[in-house]
Amino acid sequence: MTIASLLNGLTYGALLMVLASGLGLMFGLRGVMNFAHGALFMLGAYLATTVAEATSFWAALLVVPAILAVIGVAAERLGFAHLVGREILEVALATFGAALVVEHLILEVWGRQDLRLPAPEAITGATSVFGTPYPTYRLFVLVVGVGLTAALLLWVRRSRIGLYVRAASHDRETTAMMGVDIDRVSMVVVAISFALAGLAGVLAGPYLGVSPGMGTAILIPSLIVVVIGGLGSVGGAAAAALGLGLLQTFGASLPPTLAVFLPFAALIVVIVARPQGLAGKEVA
Amino acid sequence: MTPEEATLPAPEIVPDPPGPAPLAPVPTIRYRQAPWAPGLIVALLGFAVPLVVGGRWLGIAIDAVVFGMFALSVGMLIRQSHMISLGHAAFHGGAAYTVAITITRWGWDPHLAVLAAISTAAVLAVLVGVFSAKLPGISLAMVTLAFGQGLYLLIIQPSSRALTGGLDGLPVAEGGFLWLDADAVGGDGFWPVAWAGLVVVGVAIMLLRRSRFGRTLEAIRDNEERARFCGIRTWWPRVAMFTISGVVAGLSGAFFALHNAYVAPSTAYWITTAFGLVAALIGGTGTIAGPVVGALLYILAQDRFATSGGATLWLGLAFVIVVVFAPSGLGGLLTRGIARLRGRRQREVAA
Repeated sequence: MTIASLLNGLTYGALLMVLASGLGLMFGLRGVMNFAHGALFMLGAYLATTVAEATSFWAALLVVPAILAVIGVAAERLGFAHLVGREILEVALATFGAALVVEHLILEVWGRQDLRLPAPEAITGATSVFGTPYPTYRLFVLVVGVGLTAALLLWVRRSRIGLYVRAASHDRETTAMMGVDIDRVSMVVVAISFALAGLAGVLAGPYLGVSPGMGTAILIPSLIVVVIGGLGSVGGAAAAALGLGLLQTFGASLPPTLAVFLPFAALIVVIVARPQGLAGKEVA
Repeated sequence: MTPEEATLPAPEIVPDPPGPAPLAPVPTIRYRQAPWAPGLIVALLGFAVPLVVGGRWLGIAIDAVVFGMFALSVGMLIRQSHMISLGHAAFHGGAAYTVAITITRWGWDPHLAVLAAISTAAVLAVLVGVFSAKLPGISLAMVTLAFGQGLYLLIIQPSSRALTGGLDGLPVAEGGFLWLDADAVGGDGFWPVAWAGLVVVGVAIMLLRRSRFGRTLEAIRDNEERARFCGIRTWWPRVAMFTISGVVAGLSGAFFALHNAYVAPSTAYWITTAFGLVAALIGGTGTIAGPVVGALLYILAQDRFATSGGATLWLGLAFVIVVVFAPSGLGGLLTRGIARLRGRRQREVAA
């Protein structure tokens, strides 16, 4: 296994990590399996093309997550807050409906052709990693992805709101009785989850491209990662994301026919052997 | 009369308190004595549909009936076992591809091909069911999704191109089916067969609901733990139900392949399952007609917006609205509406 292929696996894993940690956080607190996460990822990438054209890629990296966070607050207030206590899969299917709407609107606004989101000048080109030249932008994705997820984990573990998040994920009613404003905690969590999806979209733009199918393509691996990691566990999702990225690297040495089945095989093996996922009920 | 009862004082007869007179019998059709009568009438009237509608609309109706069977398959699983499968497209697509491969590649007789397709769906469903039947809701959805996507990937693999045609799909060689010639199978003449298939599925579901097996399933659905305490084995009935539902999905796939004379990988893609669920939930899973009506709406939306590409927009919106405001679907709304009307009429008669 070469260093380049190892880094490929890690980069893809880091991107999945950003997506899956937000997805897992939201499931833990809200009980919402968000099938629109892929559509939000796609929205992030398309918004980034416009913002980057008007200003710069760096601005997009800040502005797009902010826009998505605002959308998240609206979605929580107008949508999820009214669906508390409903069947998990019913809500999941509602988000699937929302994803259809969002993806359609994106294509209405930006058109059906593939768009380009170039990486900024400063991080184009290649960097030597242990003597192997590797695209600098991918290293950037790797660093940002791992850094963000680590920050999120730290936030959930150390901060006061993080404490509320962990408490509410275990037992919503009791936490509310202790005087925690669950609605506000939910709002923060959904906003962060949406913002992370948007940020992953911006990061993925120069790396995977901006195309109409990108949302649906990333949704299934993200869901697999969340379920393998343990539903609602940020740490589990992060570990599973890196694992899946590495698994794909390992799979590259297998015949391609077998390699594509690896994520699904991993999911089935983990769920059947350990239905609660790798991390079980631990949130962080 | 036992001695204990004999020693008890005679119960005092309390006169009825003065109140509204007892309800007069409401003159309605004796629905309870023949609950199958409306269904029978609908089933028979269905065969007359080509006399009323024709051309493009009949084509839409056939598509709706075939997709309706698929929506019923996922809907019956929800209704009977509360399992939401995201992998049913695998049984649909697996059966469709079995028809295409056996007829086009191996030159089988269409009847044999349909039987093979249903068997394929059954085998696949048993396989997936054994792995997933004991899992709780969301895990079941994900594991069925994984199996389904596995089959999809198998179909589009470059190495299976020689068999499945890869991403290009596979045409189905024309041939007669039952009493129909090749033209009828691919055209509007397919209606009676499609409708008969739907009626058979509907009757099977009704019988299933009434049977001991159906009640066992409901007991497991409502409280799995208590059912186990009552001595009911809870695993194999769920596997069996999953398989039955998979077979219905397979029948839908086989009919789809025959009628369309072409199968694409999308027949096995998870989005197909999601749309089946959308149709089932829009129509409501509580009734047999619900998912079929939902499928009709789905096909109509696809037809209406096919050129402008807005089908997903309106379907998505409709679906969000139904889930948020009408959890039991249109069928549920209708049932509640009828119940309310009946209640009002009874009150009017009483007044």
